[in-house]
Amino acid sequence: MFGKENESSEDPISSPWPPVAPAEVVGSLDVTVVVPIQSDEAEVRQVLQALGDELNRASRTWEIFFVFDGVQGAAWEQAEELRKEFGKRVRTIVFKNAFGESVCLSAAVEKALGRIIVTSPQYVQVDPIELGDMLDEIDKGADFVAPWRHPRIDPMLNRVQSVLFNFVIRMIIGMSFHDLNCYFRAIRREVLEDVVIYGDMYRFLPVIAYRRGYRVVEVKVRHLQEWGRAGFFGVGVYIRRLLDILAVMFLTKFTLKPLRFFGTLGGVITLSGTCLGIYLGTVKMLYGKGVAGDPLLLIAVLLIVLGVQIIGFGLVGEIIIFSQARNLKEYRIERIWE
Amino acid sequence: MSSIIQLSIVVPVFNEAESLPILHKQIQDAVVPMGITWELILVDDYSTDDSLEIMLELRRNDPHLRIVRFPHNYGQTAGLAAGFDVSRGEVVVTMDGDLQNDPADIPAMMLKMAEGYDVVAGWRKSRQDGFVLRRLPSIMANRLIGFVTGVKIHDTGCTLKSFRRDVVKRLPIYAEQHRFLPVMSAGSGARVTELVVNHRPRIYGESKYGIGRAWRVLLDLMAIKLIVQFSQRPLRYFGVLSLSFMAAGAIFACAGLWSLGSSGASLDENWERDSWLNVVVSISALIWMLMVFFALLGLLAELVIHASGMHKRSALTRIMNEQN
Repeated sequence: MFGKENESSEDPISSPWPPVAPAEVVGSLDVTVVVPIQSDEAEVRQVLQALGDELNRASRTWEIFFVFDGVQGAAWEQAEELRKEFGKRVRTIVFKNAFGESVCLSAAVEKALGRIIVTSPQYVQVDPIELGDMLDEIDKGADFVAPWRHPRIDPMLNRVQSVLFNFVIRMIIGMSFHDLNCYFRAIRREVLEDVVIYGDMYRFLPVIAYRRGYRVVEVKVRHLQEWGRAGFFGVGVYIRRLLDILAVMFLTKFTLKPLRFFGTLGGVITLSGTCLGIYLGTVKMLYGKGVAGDPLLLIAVLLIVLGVQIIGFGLVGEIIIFSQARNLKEYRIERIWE
Repeated sequence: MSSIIQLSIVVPVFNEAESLPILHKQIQDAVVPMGITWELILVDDYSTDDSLEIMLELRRNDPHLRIVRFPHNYGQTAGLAAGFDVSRGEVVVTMDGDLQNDPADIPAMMLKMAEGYDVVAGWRKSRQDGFVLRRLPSIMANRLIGFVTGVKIHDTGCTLKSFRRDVVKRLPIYAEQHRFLPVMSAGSGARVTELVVNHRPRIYGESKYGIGRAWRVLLDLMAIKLIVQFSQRPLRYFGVLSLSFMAAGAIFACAGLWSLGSSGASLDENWERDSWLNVVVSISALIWMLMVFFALLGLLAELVIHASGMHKRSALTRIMNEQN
């Protein structure tokens, strides 16, 4: 694939934790933790320590995957040390270039042995104690446990936009996702095998899983610290939220009916252009006023042209969907009674 | 399954707890005297009432039942698609779960199929719905569909339809397209006919459709037209559009220049004339841009079809497409 996978063969006796399952069979472990590493400051050791202790306390068998997304520095050396220290329990995948978190997760899932995949940010973002509860939710029948950092380390204004955002999301897809930005998630393996993700979809994974018919449960977790908060204030956040809403709408609603989206958009724009044209026409008829020099005339024509172009995009979209229709299954069967 | 199943009945179910036992009884009454092997596939679209329990209860007494359960509410088309996918019958009949379709029509449909048709669409000639809100929009929509696609069917919205197995296997079913299934089948070379069926007023449950979707039907129709008739050669579709924009631009330019007439006498009139010339030229240029744009979209669509490998599909399907 994109990088090489390193696995050491020896399992040192010095390991303070019980050994991993000997057989390398998919599903032979309870949990695979996947940590996409995006920067060199990643707290590799702390993450391993925090999650490992918690997983041991919950008496689960586990392994951890560090996926280096084009990062090869101090963090990678740390992980190499850990690999020597803990043997097969710590595994790494190294990408030469940055492919983004979605690819990191997909690559790790292909190699993972655990029944449950836990994704974690590259630092200890939420209290690891919550992990036990999240895994219990999976045992109770949830397919996807999304965290919700409840007492947030956040200014007031940020909470206002959060409430607004959740309201809109709820209107669109029928479930609130309170905290799409927290990547500390527990996911049943089948979900990730079923849902192919790429690009920005890592972020919207709970939404996509929900739309695919999986049981998504939100669990309130304690927020410990937050990295990289710069740029998360002010007007910028609203623009980002708006883009999020558009992305969610696209991912969930219009993917199979592009013409309904593009056609409606183009139709509205063409209609407004036509209305403007009719208005100008009546002005000319009634008052004999020349419209030639009126910039509104050009704007009217431009709007019509733009609208027609957008409808054209929708038509191409329909062709794309149709040509792929055999690969796009809209539904998932929970069970068949034959 | 060793024995061949001759008839599969697919019923998407969403909160039809009261209707289900009656429906099952009526289907049994209609199908059993025909003496064929059959199965009834109930697709439970994540009902929130006790539909599933009732289905399981029915299944205990009738081995013909197969139940498919969705983990989420996906809508009627997905229900039909799932039913088609798991069905095993030589003929697949689809119908509503709300008792508005009469299972007693199934034997007649099977006779039609025996005549050699591939698709039989039900026609609710005496519809038991409100005229203004339900029937009038439906009539208009069906006329339009017939006019645009050339497949004249009176009642595309009727769920009671029957399909031959190979037609079902060939149809890509997605995104609320059940209305267009006969049209799409005809596009791939199937012989389509219709049959007047009984339509009964709704007794239980509430209607799950509303009005105010004319615009969506219109857009879907545009898409279907493109897909059914031009999916093998989209460049032609976009080329026609492109040429019509060229013609429109030319007509506009001619009309505009003709209306200019000779130069005016006064300075003021000349100024007016010049600015009008500007407008004519820029608007024609914009329309001609659309021509270029649509030609390029056509190329893009060709690229998509080519990249998907769809043009390499079974030659027979394609030949049938060409004949249509």
